[in-house]
Amino acid sequence: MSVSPNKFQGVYEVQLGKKRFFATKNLVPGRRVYGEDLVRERDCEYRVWDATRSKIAAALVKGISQIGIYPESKVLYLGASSGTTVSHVSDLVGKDGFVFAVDFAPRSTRDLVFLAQERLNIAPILADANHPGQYLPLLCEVDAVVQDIAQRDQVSIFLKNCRVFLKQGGFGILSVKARSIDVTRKPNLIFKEVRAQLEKNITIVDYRTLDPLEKDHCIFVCKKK
Amino acid sequence: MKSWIYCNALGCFVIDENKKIINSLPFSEEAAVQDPVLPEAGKTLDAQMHLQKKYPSAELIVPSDEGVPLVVLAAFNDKKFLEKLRVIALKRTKQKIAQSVRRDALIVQAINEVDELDTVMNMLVKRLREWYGLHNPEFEHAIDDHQRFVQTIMDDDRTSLLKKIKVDERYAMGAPFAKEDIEALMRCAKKIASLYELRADLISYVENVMEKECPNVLEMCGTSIGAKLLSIAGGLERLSRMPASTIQLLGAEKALFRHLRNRSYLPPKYGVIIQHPLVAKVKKNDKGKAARALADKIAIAAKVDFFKGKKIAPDLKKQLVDRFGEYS
Ligand SMILES: C[S@@+](CC[C@H](N)C(=O)[O-])C[C@H]1O[C@@H](n2cnc3c(N)ncnc32)[C@H](O)[C@@H]1O
Repeated sequence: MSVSPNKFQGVYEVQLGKKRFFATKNLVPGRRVYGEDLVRERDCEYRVWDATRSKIAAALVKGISQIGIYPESKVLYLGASSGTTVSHVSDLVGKDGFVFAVDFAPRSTRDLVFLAQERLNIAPILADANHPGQYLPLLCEVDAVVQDIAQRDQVSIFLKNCRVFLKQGGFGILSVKARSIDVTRKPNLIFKEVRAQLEKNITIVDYRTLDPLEKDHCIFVCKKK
Repeated sequence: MKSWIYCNALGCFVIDENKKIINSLPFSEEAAVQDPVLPEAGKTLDAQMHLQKKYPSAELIVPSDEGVPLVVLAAFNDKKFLEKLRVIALKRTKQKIAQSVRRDALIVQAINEVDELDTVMNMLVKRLREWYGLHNPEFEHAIDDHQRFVQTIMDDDRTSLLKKIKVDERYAMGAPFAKEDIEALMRCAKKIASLYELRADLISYVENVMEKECPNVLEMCGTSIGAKLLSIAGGLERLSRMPASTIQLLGAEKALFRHLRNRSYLPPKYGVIIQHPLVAKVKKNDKGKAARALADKIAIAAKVDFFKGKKIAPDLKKQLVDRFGEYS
């Protein structure tokens, strides 16, 4: 087994036998979040980033050229759910970074609260991403907006949040689930429309479909003009 | 230089174009936690007025979905603010989670527990039947109803049970069981029988809660179907917002999505309301119509219940009876 830094700061690669995984340095050594593997090398512990459970990890596997999140970044994460991906983002930005984690489902947010109590760089927020005014009083300007909410109007919600919170030159990472926009139409057509809608407002830096890790999903990495 | 007066969860601040805070009136942590959007409106106003007097040229801005100038938000990027914001966010979120629990959530949990019980009891009875079948296969074979099976084998021994089903014990296939063998089996039967009691208790509990929370839905659907609809919809509020066409298909999501993705599959006509006595009663050709009409009435009942309106179910029911005839 060996661990080596990836080209993205804060992301690592773990070689286990013939297999290669992405990983992040565990901010709370000894603790697992969702049953992921922990690997130790020298004095550091890493959490394997499961590409079937987390869309950002899936995008890494698919060779995305930019993820827009760095150590010390302040991140607004919309659709945090119980915190699977949030936990890796929290590792990645480290103790000098910060994650505002928003979800509107009380049940998942309950788990998110337990996660945030262990990790001093997460603020859990129960609110509707469609109403940024609700959580504006709890936020600062952010370096990145990540969104994974599987809603019909997800693109306009994403753009709204980028407009309100994202600094100029900051990154927006949008994960799109074709089926939540329209179950009847071909994913590729939907992704094309999303692209057009995004391009009117923001620069698209890279794009990956996540098949076969996540069926009919894709990720857009954007940059605010 | 331009400046703004801005209140967030931490307090009221005067901020200039260089993202610098030039004056502030911090809230106490208590106050900050209270309101979901902003602490006590009154206090906020006082603080705002106070700052406005000192900085008459500063522009007053309030949080909204439109946002505020980014330079204003950028003033809070400092670690010391983030730590405070996190503490307040944690407290507020915990409070909001506690407040999000409505009584219909209890209906949903209890009816789901009934479903789990059904699965578990089914497994346990099947195993018990296999076991008992070594001793008395003819009786086991003769009685289909699980609950009655469990009850009867506890009440009577093999000889009298075989007599009941008129089987000559001399030519029966079962092996004799010793006293301890019978006792072990009966201990299981007894526990399983008590699960049936638990199930009945839970159902009547669900009924009681529904009687208070959604009497109209209860009367239109009955306990089990009504509670299942609430469960699949995700609560009374969501059910009350659903159009009848959606309610009609609750419980048939799989078939619906299969159809939407591939039109060679037929669309489903009904979900859990297929079990409703009205739909069960009518002729096959009328089931779709009955399901549609019933879903219409359930949608109305749910809306009235959500807004705590009066009892209208008897009227709704009468309309159905007039059209489709009596049902139980
Ligand atoms: C696919 S899950 C996110 C999984 C998560 N990103 C991860 O990888 O660990 C989608 C989440 O978005 C949340 N969601 C959907 N619409 C939302 C909205 N308008 N505001 C806030 N959260 C929303 C749901 O409650 C759900 O938890």
